Amino acid sequence: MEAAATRDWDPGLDQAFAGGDENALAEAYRRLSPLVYTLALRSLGERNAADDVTQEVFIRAWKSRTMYRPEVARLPAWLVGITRNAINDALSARARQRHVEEAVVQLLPDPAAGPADGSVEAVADRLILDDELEHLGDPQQAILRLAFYDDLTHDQISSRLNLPLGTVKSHIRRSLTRLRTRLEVEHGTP
Amino acid sequence: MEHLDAELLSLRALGETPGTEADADHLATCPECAATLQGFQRVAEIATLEPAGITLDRPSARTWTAIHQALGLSPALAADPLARPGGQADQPAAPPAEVETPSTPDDGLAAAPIPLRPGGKNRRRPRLWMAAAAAGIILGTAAGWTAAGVLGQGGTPSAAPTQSGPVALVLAETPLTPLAAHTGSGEAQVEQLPDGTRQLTIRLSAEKTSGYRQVWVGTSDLSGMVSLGVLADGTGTFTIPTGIDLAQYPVVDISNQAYNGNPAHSDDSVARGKLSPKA
Repeated sequence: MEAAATRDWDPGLDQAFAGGDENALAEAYRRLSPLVYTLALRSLGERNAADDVTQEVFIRAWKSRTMYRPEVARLPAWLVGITRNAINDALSARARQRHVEEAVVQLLPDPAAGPADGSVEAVADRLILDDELEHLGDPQQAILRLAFYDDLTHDQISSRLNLPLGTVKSHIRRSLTRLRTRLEVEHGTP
Repeated sequence: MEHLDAELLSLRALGETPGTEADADHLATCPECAATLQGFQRVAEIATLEPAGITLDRPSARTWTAIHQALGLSPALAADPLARPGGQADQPAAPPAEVETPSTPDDGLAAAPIPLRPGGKNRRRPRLWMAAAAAGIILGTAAGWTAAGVLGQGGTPSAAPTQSGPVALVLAETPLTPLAAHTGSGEAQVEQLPDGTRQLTIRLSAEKTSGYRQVWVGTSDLSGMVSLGVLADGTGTFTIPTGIDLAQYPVVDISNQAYNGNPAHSDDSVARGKLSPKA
């Protein structure tokens, strides 16, 4: 069973959002606010703070929609980027606040928030990767899809696509390097 | 020795095993090459991530209201999009028709101890898959919010749940029979609640196991397994994520998991059964 984030995502929504269609904003909220919220909740540990970040992300996104380029990134990937920025801002603000108050009150995390959960980060990363994969172009994209989802070896891909073995191997290397770099940049560890 | 070629490392990350023994030795001792490989593996893991088992929370309704107000959106959009029909919150569970009808009542799967990772040339995929699934294990929750919805995998929108009154509807069930070296047996039943949520209830007789017991649904060939949670006592109820199509995951499997922090299936199954739809 293969998840298909961006393939399932209607590109028309990206265009509508960029063009200022409020319905596209509501639809993006319907599809993505649970992910945005859960990412924030796992990082900040408080439901109120996570609600605030979610609010901030969609407001920021809508206000900067004229800067959004559908041909550069799909909306889910773009929103994940904004979410990570907003979470970092909230964490810095909290750190400053803590510093000012000098441990007057130690904020207790909401027990309902649960432990830090890498799997939600993985879902966000998946949206980023799907986006990057889309921009690889062919045959790179076809090669990686066959490797990831059809589980073919580079030999099999080479005969399937009728490409020289060396070409397939170097495409795999370059594409994986590019995807890895994108993830690292996303997490601020270039 | 020079560092390993990035081409070789990328093929390794995809599950192939190119290179010589010397290459493998180098990899085992060189932090730099190991880090490169790990980066590639992370990509493969994320790309093959199975989102169905990952549960998401939802923001409070006031969050949309605040956005709506701050941006001065049209009054027509005042309602929380998450509460909209067709939103995940209202998405009904799969209809009974999605449950596969086995051609024969017993194809032997329930009793035969099939190894979880059968040999053969297609070994690679289950391993990648299992790692990804393991990364995403979350106990089922009543909310039923899963990442599958975010990744657009919530299955086809189905017809409204049957209006047969506020009772749970039994969709499918199966006896659970012990596998080799185990004695526990019992039954599994899938019910659809009035709100559309599907619940799997497990009853399993007591058996002393070395670890804890974990409940899974799997594909017929066991190449794909999704964890639903830990079976604490003899009986447990687990929410089936909406993204899981029981026609594709008809096998109910209970594993004995060691307390070693490894979230992947242990390969040590205690009992197993294959769901049959209930007419």
